[in-house]
Amino acid sequence: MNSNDDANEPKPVLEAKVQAELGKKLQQVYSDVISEPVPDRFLDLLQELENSSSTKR
Amino acid sequence: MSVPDTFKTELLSVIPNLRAFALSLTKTADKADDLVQETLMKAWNKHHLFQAGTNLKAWTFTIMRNEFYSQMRKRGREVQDSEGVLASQLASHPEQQGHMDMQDFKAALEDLPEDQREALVLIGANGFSYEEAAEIVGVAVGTIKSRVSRARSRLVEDLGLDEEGEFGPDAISSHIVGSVALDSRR
Repeated sequence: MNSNDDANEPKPVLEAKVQAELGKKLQQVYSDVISEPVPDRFLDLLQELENSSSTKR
Repeated sequence: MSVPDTFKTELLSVIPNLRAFALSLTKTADKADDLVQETLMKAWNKHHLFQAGTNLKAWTFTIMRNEFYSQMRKRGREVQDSEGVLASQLASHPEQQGHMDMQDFKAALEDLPEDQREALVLIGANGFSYEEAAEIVGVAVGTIKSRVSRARSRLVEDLGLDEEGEFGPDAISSHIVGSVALDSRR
């Protein structure tokens, strides 16, 4: 592990491209889940919670 | 006290993000959705503690995170996983053409220490500011920044992104001398 690396001088050109690529990949990893429609189980849960909320005193 | 409609609507709208965050914490889809379920219930029961107009997403992420770690503590499990399943299958160097493979990326992500991955996911995949992420995690802003920075450096290393031919000319790679023979990449 390079100990002289961290937090001091990023190498600008490389850094920017690499970070952009990482950021893109990171978002891709989760984009599938994020673009899925909300599963029924959660819609049902919210509905249930709402129903029991409104009958509470 | 009944729950305002706006609360319910907003809660609904962050569910996709919560599912994604849960996945980054639990790593399996089933456990992730269970965690989302528990989070939603807790959020609902605490709705009176939520200040309308503030960041609901950050608020629910905090609840989820607390729930996740409290469950981990109860089960006496090591918070930091040693090896994700995929990590052990990770090839020691990435794709030839410099195109980062999604499998490799996921494995490298999984390989990160828990706190680094979490910080990276909050900043890089959920668009929180450093301040917001720091609040969610309950640490100083500087700590989040350093975790994100370490996560990124580690990914760069694990994925071999600092090698010549990937992104730039000699001048750059001469700073980052790897032990990998450069000609084997062709």
